[in-house]
Amino acid sequence: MKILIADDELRLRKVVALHLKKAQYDVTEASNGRQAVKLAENNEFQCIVLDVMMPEMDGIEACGKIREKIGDSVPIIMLTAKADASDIDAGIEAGADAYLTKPFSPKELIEKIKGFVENGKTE
Amino acid sequence: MNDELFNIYEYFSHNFRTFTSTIVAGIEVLKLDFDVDKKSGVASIYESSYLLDLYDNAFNICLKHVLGKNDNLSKSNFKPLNTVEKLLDEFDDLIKLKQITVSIENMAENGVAGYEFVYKNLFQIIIYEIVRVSQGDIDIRFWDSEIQVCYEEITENLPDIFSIFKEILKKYDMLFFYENNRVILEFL
Repeated sequence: MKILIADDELRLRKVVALHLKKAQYDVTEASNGRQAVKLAENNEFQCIVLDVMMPEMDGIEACGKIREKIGDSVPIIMLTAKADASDIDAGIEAGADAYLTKPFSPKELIEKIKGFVENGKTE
Repeated sequence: MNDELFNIYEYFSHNFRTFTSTIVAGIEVLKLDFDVDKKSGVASIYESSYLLDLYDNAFNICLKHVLGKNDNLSKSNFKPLNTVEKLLDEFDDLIKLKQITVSIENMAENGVAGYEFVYKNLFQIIIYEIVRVSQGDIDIRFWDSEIQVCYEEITENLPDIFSIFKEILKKYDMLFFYENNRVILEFL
C-alpha cells in the first residue's frame, strides 16, 4: 500500500516514515508541497500525508492542487504545528479529510491511515 | 498582540511542536524495539531535546527584547569555536543524514568578551537553521572579530525571526548580516 508523506522537517519525516514502513506501507517522501503534487500526479497512492508549513508550496495549497489534479478519491491527512482553528478550516476547505496537530504520535497517524485504507473515506 | 510578538509566538510554537513530535516519534521507535533503527530513534530524541533547550532560551531572549525587559547580563568570554564544535557534535547524525559537509575553517581558538548567553543561543539557532535548509556544503570561519557562515544551496529562505535576532544582537554589541549564501556576525 503506497503512502506519500510530505514534510520539510527531515528528522521528523524520516522517523515517521520508519514507523509507516514498519507498519508495512510502501512510503514515498517529499520535502515540499510542489514535490508532493508532482508525486501525487504520477503515482497511485492510497493515502497522502501533508505537513501544512512547507517551503515552495505549503500543504494547504498542495492539497488543493492535488484535489484539482487527481480528484478526491485519495484521502489526505494534514499535519500542522499550529493549533489554530483557522488553519484546520483552510485545510478542510482545500480538500483534506483529516487533521493531526503536532505533537502527534505515529501510532495515531497509522490508525488514521488504516481507517481510511480499510473503510474508505467514510472514516 | 503586536506583530513582532505574534511572529515570535508563531516561530517558536511551530518549532516547539515539531521538536516534541520528533521526540514522541523517536520514543515510539525505541518502545516498539525496531532493532536496526534504534540509533535513528535515539539521535532524533537527543537532537530535539537539545533544540528544545536552545529554542526555549532564545524564546526568553526574544520576549524580553520585545517587552523591553532588561536582563542586566554581564559580559563573559564567548568562544565561537567551542560553541560550533558542540553544535556539530550534537548534530553529527543529522548532518550525515542530509549528506552535507560542515567544515570549520580558520577558526581562531580565542574567545571574545561579550554576552555569552545571548550569543551562544542565537548563534546556534542561526547555524541550525542554515543546516536545516542547506543542500550543499557549509563553511564556518572565525577570525579577528568576525564569524562567517557560507553555504551553497538552500531549499527555503532563512526564517523571518532573523530580523528580530538582528535587533537583539545589535543591542548586545554584535552586528548580524545575512545575504545570499552568507551570514556574518561581527563583534563590536
